[in-house]
Amino acid sequence: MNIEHLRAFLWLRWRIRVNQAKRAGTLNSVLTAILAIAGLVVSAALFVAGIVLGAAVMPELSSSVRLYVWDGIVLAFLFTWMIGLLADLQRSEGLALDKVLQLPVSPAGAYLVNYLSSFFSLTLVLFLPGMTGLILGQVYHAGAEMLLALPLLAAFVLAVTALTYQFQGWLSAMMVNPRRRRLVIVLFTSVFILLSQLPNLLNLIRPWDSTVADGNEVTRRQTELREQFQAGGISPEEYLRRNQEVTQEVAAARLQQVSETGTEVESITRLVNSVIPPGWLPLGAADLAVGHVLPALLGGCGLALIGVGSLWRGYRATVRMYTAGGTGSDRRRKVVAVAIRPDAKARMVEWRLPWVSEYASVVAMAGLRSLLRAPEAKMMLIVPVVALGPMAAAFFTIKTHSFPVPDWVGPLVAVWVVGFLLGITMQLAANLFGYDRDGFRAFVLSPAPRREILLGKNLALAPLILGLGALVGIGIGFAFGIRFDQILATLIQLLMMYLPYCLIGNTCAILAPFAVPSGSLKGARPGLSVVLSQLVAMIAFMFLVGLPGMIPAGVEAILAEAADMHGLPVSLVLSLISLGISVWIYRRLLNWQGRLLAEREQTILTTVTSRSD
Amino acid sequence: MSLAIETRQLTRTFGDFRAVDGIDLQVERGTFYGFLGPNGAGKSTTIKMLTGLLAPTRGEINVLGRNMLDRTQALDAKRHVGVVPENLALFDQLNAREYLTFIGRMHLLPRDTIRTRTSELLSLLDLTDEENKLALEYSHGMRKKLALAAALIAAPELLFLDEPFEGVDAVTSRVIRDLLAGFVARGSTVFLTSHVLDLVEKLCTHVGIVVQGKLVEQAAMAEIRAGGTLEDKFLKAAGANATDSPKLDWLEAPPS
Repeated sequence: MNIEHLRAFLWLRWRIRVNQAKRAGTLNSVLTAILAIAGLVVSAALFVAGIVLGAAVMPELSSSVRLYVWDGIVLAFLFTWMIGLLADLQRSEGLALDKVLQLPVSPAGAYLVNYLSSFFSLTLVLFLPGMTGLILGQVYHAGAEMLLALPLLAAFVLAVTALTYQFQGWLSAMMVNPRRRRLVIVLFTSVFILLSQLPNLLNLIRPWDSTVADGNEVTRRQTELREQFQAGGISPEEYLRRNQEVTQEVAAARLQQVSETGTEVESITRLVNSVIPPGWLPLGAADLAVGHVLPALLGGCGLALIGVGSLWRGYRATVRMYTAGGTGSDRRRKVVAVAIRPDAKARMVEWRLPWVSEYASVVAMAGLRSLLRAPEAKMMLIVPVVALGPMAAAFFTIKTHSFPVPDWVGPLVAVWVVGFLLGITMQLAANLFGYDRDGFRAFVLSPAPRREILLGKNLALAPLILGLGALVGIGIGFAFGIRFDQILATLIQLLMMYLPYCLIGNTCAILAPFAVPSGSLKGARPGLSVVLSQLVAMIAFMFLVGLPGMIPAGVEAILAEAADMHGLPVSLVLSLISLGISVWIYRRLLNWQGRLLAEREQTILTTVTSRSD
Repeated sequence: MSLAIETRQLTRTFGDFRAVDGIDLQVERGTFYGFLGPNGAGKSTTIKMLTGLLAPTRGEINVLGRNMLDRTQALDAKRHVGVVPENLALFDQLNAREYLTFIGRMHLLPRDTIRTRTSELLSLLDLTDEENKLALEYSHGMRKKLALAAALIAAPELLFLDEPFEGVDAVTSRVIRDLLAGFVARGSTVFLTSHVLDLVEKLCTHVGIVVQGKLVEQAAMAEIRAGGTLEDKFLKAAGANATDSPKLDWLEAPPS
């Protein structure tokens, strides 16, 4: 390994990025260039801003606030670093070592060069100058020992990059099997999405917040006072004085609580920073500002050890993988002789659905089989879970604080949430063929009438979408304690909305398909028209289906409130009527969509089978 | 003369580039037709148009007596045709048995027939041990074999094969050759593209050579052989001459 190899690797990474930008079109290239220049400018600006903040603002802050500032910076750094890692994982064409090991480079050299060249990431370019500036700025007030934070920062970067690199090496060993590769991507993405939603959920639930409880206490005591005053038990002066006392008592108690919470938060933060390695940088840097050197020294040594250890382990795993040709374990592949079984069944794909043609039946069952295994579908189904999280949190807040909810709200909320759920999964329905990739060729080559293919595709999605919708609808129904016929009406409304949902999805899938790299939800360079079509499909669903879908529950609510007609299954009856209309429209339009698919299938094939990087 | 494939002035352009330029193909039923040409000559584009994967810019296509530009007739023709396209047509998330069941059902075969034929095809193509793997876990050669099994499962009258031997091991290659020979012997038709001239010369009864989108030669193998080897004919048609190829002095010099 020599400097020429490092330069060649850097050049390779650079060319891959440039070519990716070029292939994405001129506009994308220009935007990428602008972003790159902006990144460098921002990086320089952050360095200067760091120095200014470090010199002028940080010394004015208390020790605990300085710790929070560093924690915030480190969290932001790790968050953007994770996004970069996620993008690298999803990229189908990475810079794997096996592409260069046939060249005159030793595995150790290739490993090290590849690791060093991975340093040129946007996160490091943006964060490192700012963090360096912040340390240098504090030297003026905190003295020369603050400079110890620089090796601490270097050790932090080494630990993060080396751990990431080791993790990527481990993943690449895991992902030699493409099936496992997709599973790893799904799991990693899901964990990342769920983790990034945690602060949002915590903020919504606010388990530490007693504002509402305080408000309820004030209201209760003020009501008592008012009742006493109205009953003539106390004079107006007494009423005013005691009313003011109540407010002041609650405010004082609240201040006390805030102060106690602050101390508690600080001690918890220090503990967390001491235990979790990324926290050693904030802890060391914050303590250096008050002259405590030991945390920085220990933290620096610890992080450096983690970094070097990770690099060593990663290197050994990589070498094992390339020399042993596997994950490094000694497990040998079992060779199992499989007897020929003429009666062996393909189980699910053989199932025949009632009331539909053989074509629709097989397309539905093969489609469902694929969807149940496809990581994209699993990732897509995480989206509603994540989106429904804040709603569940809001509902939890309502329940815990016992806000009065009128009876007619429950059925409306159930239908609305079910409709919302369909809306946010529209991406799956609106690109039905994008996830088939080369498999779509089988449809084009098949003798099946195209209407039947669409029907089969819609049926394939039904268990996933309707199943999730039914689960949510029933859950909300029980949570709000709505009547059985109203729950039934919600399920019928779900079915009613599903049919136009499919029609809108089919139209979009036929007119504006896009290729999706395997194991990813992100389209491969979808054009503006495609993005707009997807957006229009979602909006169209919300307005043309979602809002009308609420009519039955709405009518029942109006009748209950305005005409005092309670307990009548109005929503159920209206839902059945609207389902009938929906089925009629679906059957009519599906014929037309079948013809449209036949006209456009070759264009769709070209699009969905286009390779992406 | 009963034709399995007939095209008239078949043309396909991509922007200004004319990939296929007015091809008039005539493939008789019961023949083993080799469609040859250098890289980028338009072979795959032609096969895509013949099978309905790509719309022609101009021209007419008749497959098994059906007009492929008429949607109803094209669907009817597809019931009797098997295809191994260039980039295959596999669903990554289905295993071999599931995929063959899917294709069999799309041709409305009875379940028992599908099961029996699937087992026989998997066994013949040495995929039985791997039938529970998903298509995405298959090697290129295994994917090719699975695609071939799918093309054969409905016992079609006409088989389109785009580079069927590419990436396939020697043993399986022999099995496929024997299978295709038997397939043609029963009166069915095979239309294949291949770069392996020896193999084409052994297997095919008729040959068409396409160069830069134009059909420059179309004849029975016996006629081709009468004027020399297929390779000579091909190189001549492609405008290449082995003796005139440029030399690289630095590769011919002794190693330093």
